[in-house]
Amino acid sequence: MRRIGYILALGLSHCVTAGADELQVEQAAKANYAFVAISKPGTSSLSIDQRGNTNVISSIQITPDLNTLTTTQSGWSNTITIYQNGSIDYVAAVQSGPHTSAPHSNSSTSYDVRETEQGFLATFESGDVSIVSLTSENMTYVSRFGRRH
Amino acid sequence: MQGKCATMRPQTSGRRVALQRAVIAAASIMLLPSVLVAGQPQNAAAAERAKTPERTGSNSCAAYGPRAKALGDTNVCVLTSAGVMAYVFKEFTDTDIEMIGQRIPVPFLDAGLPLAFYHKKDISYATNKVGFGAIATADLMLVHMSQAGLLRGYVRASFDGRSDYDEDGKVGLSLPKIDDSYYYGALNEAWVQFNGLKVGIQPSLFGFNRVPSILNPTYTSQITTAAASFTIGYARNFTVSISAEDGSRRNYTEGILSREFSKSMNPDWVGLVRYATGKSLYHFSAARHEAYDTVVRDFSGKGNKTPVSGWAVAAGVQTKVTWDEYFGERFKRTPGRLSLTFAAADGAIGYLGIPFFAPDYVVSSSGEIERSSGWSAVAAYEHVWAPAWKSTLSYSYFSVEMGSPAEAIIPTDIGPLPLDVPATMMDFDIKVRGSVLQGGIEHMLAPGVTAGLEVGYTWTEAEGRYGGHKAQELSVGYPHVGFYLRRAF
Repeated sequence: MRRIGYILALGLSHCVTAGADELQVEQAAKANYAFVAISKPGTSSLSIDQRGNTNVISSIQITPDLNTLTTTQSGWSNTITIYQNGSIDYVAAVQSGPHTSAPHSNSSTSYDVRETEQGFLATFESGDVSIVSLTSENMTYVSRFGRRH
Repeated sequence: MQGKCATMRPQTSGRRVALQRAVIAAASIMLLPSVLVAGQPQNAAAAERAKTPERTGSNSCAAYGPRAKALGDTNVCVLTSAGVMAYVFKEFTDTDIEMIGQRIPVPFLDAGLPLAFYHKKDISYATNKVGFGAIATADLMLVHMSQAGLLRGYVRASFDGRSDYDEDGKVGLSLPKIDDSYYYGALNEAWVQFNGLKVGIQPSLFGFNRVPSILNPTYTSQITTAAASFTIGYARNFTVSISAEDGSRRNYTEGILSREFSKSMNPDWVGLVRYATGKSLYHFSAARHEAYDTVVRDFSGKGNKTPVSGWAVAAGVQTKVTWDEYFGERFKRTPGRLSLTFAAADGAIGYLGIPFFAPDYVVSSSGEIERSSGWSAVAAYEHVWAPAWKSTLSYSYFSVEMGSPAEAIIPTDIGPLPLDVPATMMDFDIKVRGSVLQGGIEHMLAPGVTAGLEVGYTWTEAEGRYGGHKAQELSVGYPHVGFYLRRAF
């Protein structure tokens, strides 16, 4: 199987400055998806580590002061899309082949949301899939439905 | 929890519909005696003419039932009725499946990436307490027979309050709301009929079997809606009807995965054929659902309203079971009624009469629409054990599937040169199945006063795929019990 590594970065500038407390996200399912959309507060600092067969990161950081993103992807297919637009923007991305340890699968289904300094961190894990979204309040569009709605 | 939440479905819940139907069935049976007994469509001109009294004679109102009174010398008959019901219920579970819809901002996808998730939600704040509620309904019908034909007017209003526990365990009062109005929510029916033409808020032609259970809804479509319907009776046992109905009460939309609206100038079209034999009544209906969507326009600021449509079909049969034919004369007073209903829908999930586990469709950032599809079925049997005792047994099942069109998270056609890599696509597909098995027993304590007990078991399962990767199945099941006391006036 061909391993695919792919990064697309837009509006990127390179500076390193101490900023907000870094938020760390780790995913180790067979298919890992991380979606970031942060516009508040003034700084955004994020670290994402994905170890699985398919790893996808899609990130928008448009806080006005500092946006930093460090990612590590280890898998057969690694994809990153980044858009940053602040006074200082920083990205470090490492992509590599599959890790020696097998990715997790058949994890029970869970959906959890917690509020962080940088926004709402929602995590869905089920079976072969892990999907994480970190979104500022003004970029969070969520509905709830089901038998009791 | 998170920022902008939205639930746009304007419909009253299935439980409310079931409860209202129960009170109506008790209260208004004297208003529509021949309709219920013969099982004819309520607006069947042929049926109306069949039950219409002679056009001459001073006591013509008696043909509409013992409670019909003449309104002075106007040749108008007035029928009124009312009913009240109080109930308590308990669900023995701490969790239930909840769906989450999310539209995530993603580079290159102007209207965001739609995703849906399922999980077990802790609902113990509501279910560790006993639920309760009360319904009061009042009906008024005016009937006038002239040389030109039958003219009827009918209004039914209700107060339908029930307990609603918030996440702090505090109880509040929940009332039905339609179009953000409690008044519309309280107005169940309001129509006028001239021969086969009926205009106003009336039962949709699509629905068939009345809900055989009282406290917990079965998966069958029974709603009232603003409509104009016309029925032609080709014979006493064969009618064909068509109606233009307000589709907004059928919209299954939550505002994030889709944002669906209906226009009165573009109604749903519903057709119905009913055929009766000696003991059985057959029902075939079909609906075309029309609406428009604004989710892409609202999120991207580009584009216009997008027309959307869906369809639904239903078939059913009701048959009287005369046990005396099989077991002898002593069972003559203990008949039963068997009813079967099947419905299928594509892009019109509101016609299935199921809980809101899927919107009618999901819209991608590009505006592509993937319609949800599903089906539901109900088998029910009611048995009269003695004049004052009746039991019900029903099994309902539904299956619904929704998904999003696959979209490239990184388009391959950006930049000066095409990217020579496979596009990374993302989509989701979620299938939800569920069933309810329930039985009940009802006893008439005195004329017009009925007490009932219902027990049941509800089961629901969800499973999904994301970007082609399988997520795990999730299921919940729990028993429930309820008791009600009903009085008809």
